[in-house]
Amino acid sequence: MIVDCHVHIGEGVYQACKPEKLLAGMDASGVDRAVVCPVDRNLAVDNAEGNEYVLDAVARYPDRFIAFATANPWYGARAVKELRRAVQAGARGLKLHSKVQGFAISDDIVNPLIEVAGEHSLPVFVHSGTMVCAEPLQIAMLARRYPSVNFIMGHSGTTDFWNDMIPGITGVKNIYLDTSLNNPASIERYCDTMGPERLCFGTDFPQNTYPVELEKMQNAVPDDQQRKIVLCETILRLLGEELG
Amino acid sequence: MVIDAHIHFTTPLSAGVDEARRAMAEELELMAEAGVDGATGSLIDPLYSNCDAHSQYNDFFAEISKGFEGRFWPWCVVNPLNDDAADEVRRCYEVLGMKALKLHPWMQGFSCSDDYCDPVYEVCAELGMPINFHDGTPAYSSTLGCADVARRCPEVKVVLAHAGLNDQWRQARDIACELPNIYLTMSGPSMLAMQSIVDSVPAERLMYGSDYGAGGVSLIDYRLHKIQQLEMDDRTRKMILGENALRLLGVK
Repeated sequence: MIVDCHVHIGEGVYQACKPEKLLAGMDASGVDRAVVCPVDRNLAVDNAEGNEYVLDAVARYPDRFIAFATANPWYGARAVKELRRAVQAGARGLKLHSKVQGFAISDDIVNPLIEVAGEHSLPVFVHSGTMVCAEPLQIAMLARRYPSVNFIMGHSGTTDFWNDMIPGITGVKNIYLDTSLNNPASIERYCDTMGPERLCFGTDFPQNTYPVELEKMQNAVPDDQQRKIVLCETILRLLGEELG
Repeated sequence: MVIDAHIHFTTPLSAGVDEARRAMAEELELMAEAGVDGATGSLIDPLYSNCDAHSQYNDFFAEISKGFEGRFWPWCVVNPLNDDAADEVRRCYEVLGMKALKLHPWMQGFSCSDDYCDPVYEVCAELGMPINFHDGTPAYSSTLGCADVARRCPEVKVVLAHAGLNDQWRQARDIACELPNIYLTMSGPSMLAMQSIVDSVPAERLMYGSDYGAGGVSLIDYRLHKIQQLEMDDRTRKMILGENALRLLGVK
């Protein structure tokens, strides 16, 4: 089984992807399921519209998609209310993108949303790799503040935080790494150091395509058993699903 | 013909010329098996800020590259903070026959915008020597910081080695549309970003580059296959995969 932990669907400004386009890409490459999040503008503003889009996709394709909802912390109490509503409607994780949403991921403005995720045992997917607002060590600071919440670090600090990743993240056990945008050598290094149980396969589709990203995983994690863990087991465990 | 326009060799100076030449032969063979016919790039070690032996590294790299003419074209490395940097660039061009300069401002510990770099930029302008900048990493190596060298020195061909990486690729795309002496090797942006770059920037200034050395042959597979999957006509793909790099190097 292959599960993609990082996909955006919706009608955005810089990207647009309908569920059917995603499904076609998944089917052509044998990808079984995908975590779907709202697209760019819906991460920044109109969060409810984006959340409805992904929840609707899940309602139509419940065996294929898993919804992560977003809320921009600048909306304050309204953000908390929207996240609670989306979780009630079926969202199984929180997506934060501090670059698009305009805050530093370690700032306390985000705390109320993380606390909602914690109440519901939801994983929190956070963008990383952008200076000032989404640095790996900022995410480590947040993850230490909430040790019982699991965080998935989108892009694993790519590109120029590779120096910080192993010393800064290895010991923070509630941080997991998304493989998208990472070069195969970095994935191999993280897998060797932190173990495949800390890695989740992700593409950031439609930013990247399945054939190239899956070939990359084959090269980066050549061991079949380890690759199986990265391609599906880690994310399913974070979602609380039986591995079967 | 596929030319990888952005690679690094990791062989240390201590390996000696003979061993380094054997390593280069093996690595070029592995690249050939991955579908890459030739490459151009630098050594990694002189890009670290504690390097105090650039001329020694440049001699070493020029020497080990001998015998690989037509398959590999070495870049020299200097640190503009050193008083003799411009003279060393001239020596590399005139004596060693090196055709491009690599600068990695954040690793080397200088700002590409500071005026102590001017003598290096001036000699590159005079010699027609392209500068390949690591870009996409603020503050010292921001995409627009590197690109501004092209604005201030219109005779210098400036290659943005990472086309802005994940956060600054739109700036790389837009500045490459604006300034005719900006070239991009797309080592880093997503495929959607690469497609946007290919659709916007004049094709003769785009190149395939893997940043091999930051990873092994799997990095070549990853970045070459991305280019091969982008939508473009055959003529454009041929230019991006090799012709543009050869033209920039002045190879007939």
